[in-house]
Amino acid sequence: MEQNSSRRTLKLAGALNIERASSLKAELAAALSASSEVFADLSAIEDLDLACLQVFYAAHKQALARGKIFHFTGSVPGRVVRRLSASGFLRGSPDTAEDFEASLADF
Amino acid sequence: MIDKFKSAFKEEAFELLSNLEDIFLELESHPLDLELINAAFRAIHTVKGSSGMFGYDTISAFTHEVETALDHCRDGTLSVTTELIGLTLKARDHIRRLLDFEEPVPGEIIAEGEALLARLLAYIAKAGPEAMASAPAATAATPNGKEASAKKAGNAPAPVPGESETYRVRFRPKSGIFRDGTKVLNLLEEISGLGQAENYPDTSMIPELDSLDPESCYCTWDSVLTTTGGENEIHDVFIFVADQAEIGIERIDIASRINPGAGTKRLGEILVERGAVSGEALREALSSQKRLGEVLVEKHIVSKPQIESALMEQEHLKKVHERGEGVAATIRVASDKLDALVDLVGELVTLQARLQQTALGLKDAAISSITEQFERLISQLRDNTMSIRMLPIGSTFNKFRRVVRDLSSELGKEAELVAEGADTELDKTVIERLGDPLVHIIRNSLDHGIELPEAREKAGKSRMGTIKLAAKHSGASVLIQVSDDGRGLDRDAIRNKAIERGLLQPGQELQDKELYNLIFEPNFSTAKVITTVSGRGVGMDVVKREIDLLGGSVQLDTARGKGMTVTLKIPLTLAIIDGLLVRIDREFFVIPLSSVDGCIEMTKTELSTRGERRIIEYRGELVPYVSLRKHFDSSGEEPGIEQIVIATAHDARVGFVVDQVVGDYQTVIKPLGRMFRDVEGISGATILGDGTVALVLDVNRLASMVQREAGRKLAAGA
Amino acid sequence: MPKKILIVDDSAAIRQSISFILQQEGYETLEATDGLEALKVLESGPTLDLIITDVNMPNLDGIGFIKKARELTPFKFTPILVLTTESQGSKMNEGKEAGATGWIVKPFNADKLLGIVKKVAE
Repeated sequence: MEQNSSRRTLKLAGALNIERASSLKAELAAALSASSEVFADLSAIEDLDLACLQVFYAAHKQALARGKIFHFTGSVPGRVVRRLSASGFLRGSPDTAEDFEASLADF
Repeated sequence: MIDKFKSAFKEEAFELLSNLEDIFLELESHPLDLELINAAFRAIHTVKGSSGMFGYDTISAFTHEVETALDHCRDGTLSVTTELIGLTLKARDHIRRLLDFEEPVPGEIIAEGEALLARLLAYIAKAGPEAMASAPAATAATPNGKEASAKKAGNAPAPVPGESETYRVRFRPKSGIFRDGTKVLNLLEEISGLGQAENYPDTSMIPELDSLDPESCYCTWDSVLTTTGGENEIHDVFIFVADQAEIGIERIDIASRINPGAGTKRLGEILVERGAVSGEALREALSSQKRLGEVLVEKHIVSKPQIESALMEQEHLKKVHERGEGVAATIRVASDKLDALVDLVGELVTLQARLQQTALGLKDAAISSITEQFERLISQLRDNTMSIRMLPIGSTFNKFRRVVRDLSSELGKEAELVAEGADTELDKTVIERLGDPLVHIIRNSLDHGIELPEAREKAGKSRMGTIKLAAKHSGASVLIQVSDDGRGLDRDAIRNKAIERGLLQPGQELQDKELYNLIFEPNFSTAKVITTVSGRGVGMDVVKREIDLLGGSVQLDTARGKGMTVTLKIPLTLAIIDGLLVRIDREFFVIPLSSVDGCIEMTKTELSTRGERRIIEYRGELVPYVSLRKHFDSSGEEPGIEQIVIATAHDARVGFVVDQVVGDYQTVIKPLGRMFRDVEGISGATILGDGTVALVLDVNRLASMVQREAGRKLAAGA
Repeated sequence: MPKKILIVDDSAAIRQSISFILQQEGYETLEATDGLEALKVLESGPTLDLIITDVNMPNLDGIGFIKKARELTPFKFTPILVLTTESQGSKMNEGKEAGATGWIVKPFNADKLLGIVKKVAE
């Protein structure tokens, strides 16, 4: 177990789709209960669907409610940005994780 | 490329058909065996599906009906009988035969198939339930047969195909939508692909991680989409998820939403339209001084995403609107608003006339100068307003094309309509009132002018007759010509008919033009056979009457065997004309200035000495005249000196005797009430500066009456 | 990585032509002749991006196959398209209820097929 104040980065890879949603939820939940700052590195993901995106939103809401931090890190692949822009989650085409998070609707 | 699969398909089909034969034969002895029925259905179904895929459309279509029959056997609504087996076996044989043909299949083979199907369908109709009615297609599109729970656009006017329209799309997936493999983001991407789209997701329902079911959907969308594709394309995006989502598609009427001050719809309006907030709650919120969005969120009336989504719509509409302004700088205006504007301008013109008169009396230099400027401005305002009412006449041409098409086929003739000068502009009221006369003229040309195809060939013409509709400007008038290349008018036939109808005395000779004009007389018809079209002689007299009312004239030219041309000369506008104001006793009349030639004075004695002849000499020409006092039964004594206004109508002069010529007068014409509609010689009314009503003379009509009377007198005297 | 699609139909001609059209577009395809055989393919554990299945088939029909496939964890969310004909409106409902993502109405051309495949599988 890591310290509560510690910072933890989850390096995610592959296609984050509905089949992965349950395990992603478990991973994030574990990380959020163990650490006060959790970062999700999206630079190596191939895809992101609505189910997994919802998991990130839920993680963010939980972190806020519990006084913790949940952020994205790493540059987000263009394919994911395009998909989220087309469905209205993203305004503009952010290329850094900070921009990505700032542009994510209601995040 | 697909060809190499065709042989595979054929082999498969041969095998299926050979099995099918066995199945049918066995079915005959075991008509209740559901397994056999299913097997037969499956075989036929496969043949149908694959034949369609490989372009054997004839087989596919034919098989479809056989499949339907078997489907009825499966669900028990049609029982298997020897007769049915006989038919299906024949059908099987026919399919086998069709496999030997490539498309297009020879007509006689198709006919054989159709005969066979007819027997099959007849059998089903007789033995089955309402089998025929419930047959194919319709059940297709959406699951459960329900029209994707979409709400149709409210009371916005119908969209124009091909034009871009803006829609509000509400997409509320059910939580279980992931479970049938639907990729929700794909649907939103598709929406974006249809045009200029703004998708706004609502993520507020996503719970905290611990309570999240990762396999449920929590998001909903509000989208605003501007597309040329139409509502069906949007429905198609959601075609597979109609049972897994609530979908609302609503057309936003852009035109009604642009309010001049704010540019686009207000936030409050959008929220109320979306049902996010009640009108009452909105008014309450608006009464506080804070920003509307903040107030509504603070009071928990609407959620933040709802506000943002509405703001997004506002933004989108603004964008669309701005883009729209660059492209098409036209707006639609309800025509009654335009009419109201014309009325107001008319009143201004009237008032200005009074001002001018008063100013003249005052002889004040300052007032005169202002009056002149005022007059100039009003004249510009009048011209501008009139030009707004101008429409290209071509907008009505399509209607005539339809008339020609329908009527020529009804009459067994071949004819086409050629239009010229479709962009010639005319006042919209004039265009509306021209519709019927033009239809009558065109019908007349088709019925009496254009010959039957064989007759045309004999006459050395092409089988196809041509009716030309041409419009062009000519001064303050528009000339509209309808010409045909038919047989032309028959002078002798018209003459005989005119005598028969009492329109002409037996010995009386008329110029060609005058003679031809007789076809515009009421109850004149030379058609030997009464047709449903124009043979009753209604038509051409109606044309004349209508055109007279429009202040226009009709002229007719014809050459035997070559065709006929009817020329309508129509004033550009009806709403405001320059007129000559005249007085009889205490009544005022307006004579359209465009038809006035001049005025002459005449003493009472001069008039009376001329007695019954009613002919006056004007510029070396004998001109018949009419006393308007007598015509309109005005009371009062004739003054010592009367005036005669000489006007031109139908290329001939005619005089109108009046008490006094008052002067030029800009006339705003009001349509006549029912009371005056039947008064001959009046085409409208106008209100003078002091509020008195003046009637506008229908010069053409009056002239015809006068000329006819004069003609009769001449004949009687001769 | 190319998308992998399983095609289930008892007509070899249909199977092969769908396969051909999809391969031209760079998809990888697997084929099965009926529901039972298709289940065997699923049990061998491939990663599938889409399943296209006919409805009327011997042994195990399309509807039965979809129900069984949805019970297998790896294929719980895999897009499935059923092949139907116009006259079988009810099959679309049955298919949807069994867990299908959508349907393709026969006869279809290559553009229509690819459009629907793209819609549900990309």
